[in-house]
Amino acid sequence: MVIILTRVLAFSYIGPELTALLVLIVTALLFIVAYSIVKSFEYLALTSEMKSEFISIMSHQLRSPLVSIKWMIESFFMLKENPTETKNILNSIQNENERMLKIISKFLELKKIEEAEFFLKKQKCELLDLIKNIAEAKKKLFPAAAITVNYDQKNCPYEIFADSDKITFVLENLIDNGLKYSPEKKEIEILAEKTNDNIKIFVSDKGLGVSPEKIKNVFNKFAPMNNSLKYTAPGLGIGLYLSKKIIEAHSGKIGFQTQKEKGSTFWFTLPTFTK
Amino acid sequence: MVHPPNFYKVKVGRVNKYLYCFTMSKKILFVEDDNNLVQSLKGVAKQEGFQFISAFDGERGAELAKKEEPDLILLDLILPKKSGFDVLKEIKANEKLAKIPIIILTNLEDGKDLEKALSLGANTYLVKTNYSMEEVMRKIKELL
Repeated sequence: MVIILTRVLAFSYIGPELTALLVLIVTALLFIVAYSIVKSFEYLALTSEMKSEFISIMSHQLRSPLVSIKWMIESFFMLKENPTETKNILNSIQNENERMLKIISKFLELKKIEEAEFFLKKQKCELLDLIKNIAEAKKKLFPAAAITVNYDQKNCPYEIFADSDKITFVLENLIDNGLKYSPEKKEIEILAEKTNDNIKIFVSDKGLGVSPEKIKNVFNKFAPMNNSLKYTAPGLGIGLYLSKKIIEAHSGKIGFQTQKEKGSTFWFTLPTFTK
Repeated sequence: MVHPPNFYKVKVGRVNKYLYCFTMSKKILFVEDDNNLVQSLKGVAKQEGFQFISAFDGERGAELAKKEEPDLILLDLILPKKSGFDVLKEIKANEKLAKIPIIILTNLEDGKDLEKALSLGANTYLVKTNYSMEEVMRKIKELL
């Protein structure tokens, strides 16, 4: 192509300035084409690398609860009989099973979102009931954790028009993150505030807080796959991504405040139900 | 005869006479963010007579290593705050701690991670799914 263009230019020689300009334009065009090809290859390579990294992180995430269960069963047989210990082990095995189920359901939700099969089954529901039920279930699973629900009685009911399963997913994910990143003080406070238009839910913990380098990627899909974060972000990186998608699909907003070593507060808003 | 694990047996004389000598039990530090794994190993290690301490994240792990100077460190690689690799580098760069045997206990099976950990001075690299707790305990005893 370059040869043909050069010949055309040579045959139709119309002065040095114009020829130089045409050569420059042709070179620029060639550069753009070459650059696009290189970028496409880079993109393909990155996609393939992302897929491979994704599979690696996914298998790591599924392996963790499986290894836990394996070790707990082993310790059950290795330790001398102790009814309290046995109960604790069985309780932990149950938690790990829940963890695995959650990982799998996150993947299924992700698949639905990626393949545009994401439908909301909206209906009128009382958000406080959802929150209280989730908090009670979590207390049973994590007896050592302190989970409190605060709201202003005067503002009841806290009704929303939403897909209750999806909102449960968001709430569970925020509470689970709070518990996961609070190695010592497992204290979760859920606060509900209501205005005329919106209900705002805050989920606060007193854990590690989000480190500054992770703040901008918190809601990104597969955030831990970034190489610099891979070894310090023990999560899959889809829970908060899905939560954001779900809240936005309900015309709400989601965000967070965090302080290193003091904890984080994740919040989301949902429109109040109006008749 | 069953005897406490922090005692060792010395044969005295020609006949079957043994002297049970007290020894300080060895201290293991487990840097791991999965509390269930920590609790499982803690029970078994204590039953076997080891002192057991643990850290949930890399930063605390490095701090505890300096403060407690354990006899052996079990180290996960994916950890909050500071990665296992960074903890490993920090320990190996510290003259007082450099000789502590370190077992990497991870779910990462990538050969690059293994090579990196061994080149940084880890003694053994164990993939959690491939080892039972009994085998991990055996590795611990081998290195102590």
